[in-house]
Amino acid sequence: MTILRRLRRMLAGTGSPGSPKGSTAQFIRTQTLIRGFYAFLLYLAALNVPDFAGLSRSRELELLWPVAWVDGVGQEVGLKLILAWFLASAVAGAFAPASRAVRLAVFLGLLEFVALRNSEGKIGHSLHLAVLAALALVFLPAGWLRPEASRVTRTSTLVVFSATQALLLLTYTMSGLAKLGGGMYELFSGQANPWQPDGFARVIAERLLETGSTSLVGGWMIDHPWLSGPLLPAVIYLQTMAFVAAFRPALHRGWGLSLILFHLGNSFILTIHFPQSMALLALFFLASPFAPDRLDGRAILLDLPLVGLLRRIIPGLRNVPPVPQNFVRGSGSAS
Amino acid sequence: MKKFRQLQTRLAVLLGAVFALGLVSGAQRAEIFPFASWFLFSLVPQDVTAYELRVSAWGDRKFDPPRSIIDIDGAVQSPRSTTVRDLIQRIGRAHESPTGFADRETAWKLLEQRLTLPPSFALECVRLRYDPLERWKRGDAALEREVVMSIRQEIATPPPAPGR
Repeated sequence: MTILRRLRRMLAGTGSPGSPKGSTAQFIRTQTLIRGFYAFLLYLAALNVPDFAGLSRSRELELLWPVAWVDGVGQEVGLKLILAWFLASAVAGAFAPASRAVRLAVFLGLLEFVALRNSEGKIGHSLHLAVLAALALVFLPAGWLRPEASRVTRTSTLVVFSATQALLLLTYTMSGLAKLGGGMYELFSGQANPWQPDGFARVIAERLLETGSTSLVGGWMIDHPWLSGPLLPAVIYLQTMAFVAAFRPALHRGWGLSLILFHLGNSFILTIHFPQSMALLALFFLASPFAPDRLDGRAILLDLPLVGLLRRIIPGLRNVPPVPQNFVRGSGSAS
Repeated sequence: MKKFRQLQTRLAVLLGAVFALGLVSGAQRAEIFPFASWFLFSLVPQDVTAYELRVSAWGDRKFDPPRSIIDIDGAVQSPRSTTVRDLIQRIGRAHESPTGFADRETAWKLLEQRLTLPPSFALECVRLRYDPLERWKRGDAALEREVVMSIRQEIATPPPAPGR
């Protein structure tokens, strides 16, 4: 665990606390947000009910591993079982998320449903974050929903929530690292790359051509590379550093908002729609229990990934004092 | 305290597993669901090779020159969906691979249920090569095309029922 502690300390910014401290206000907010997550899953299930008739119909499927058992029992029974389980567990999760058995059932129901939806020849990723968050929240300690929970239970609850935040942002970091690596390869092999003015225009053109779709601003962006060009490097920074931001509460709201804007941009420019991920980012980051109540531009600036490194390298920035610890420790009274 | 340490370890293992399995998903070019591959939109498109299904006959309708199947009214359910696009790419790639026969058949069956197939039709799978920005600006004039496969189904019109 020493390595993990060191890693966490390294990722924490100038003024961010190393680990959740467990104030009463943070704990109550966390409980509410987790309940909100299970209510969101119920909403998601209800939203899909109109598709149940089509989804339960026997048809040609390329079953992913979580639903491979359907072949054994036959589609007639198996598909209906998955949909019933998904809906029933979502209702149970919204009603009684305190039980680990219920949370496990919710995770499995969601995993089965998303696997079924993606068994038609292509894996889409709009529901992956919800599946991973449901998996992480299975680890919540017993009694996490009780108002009089012990200090260990409160701290464990905050740690699980914090790990769920890190897990969500890790997926963006993975995508960012691949873009960074791919872009460096392209740059050094003399190919079109993300850092050239028309790099993003090429991505937009290919996306719209391959699906034969038209987007609200995609064509305009292609025609104005001076505007679209900087967006791709900015997205690479935003995604690559997302995991670091998870450990810096001062950045939670800003990073959550930036990623939501990134998804909105993808909708308008590339016709890639991830409304579920946007809702989860709002829940876990815009409403983060660890984020300070008051926005402080200086605190955010000093906590931005790579800015700390620049402070060490550039002599003039070395004397900027760090953000006071009590500011970013978050809101609420101490327990 | 021991339980708390165990919890921390389990969460760290979960994060590590998501990180590692996402990398493996990308390296294998086959996603280990639900661990998304790292490599989504990881490269800027250069010279693109893609496949298109072009229709020259669809029931009573004839198309000269042939038209992309996704541009034919009523031929495909959700013609702009990425699933349709990916299945067409799979059919083309599998057809050109010496070991791709089974995958091509699977992809065709999956695509077929999204098509409203008429009794007779003629289509061809075309390999396209293009620079995305050039194609965006100049349209089909910027395309290099090569037919890699033809699919034709002709069903004789059944004779009229007696007494009609």
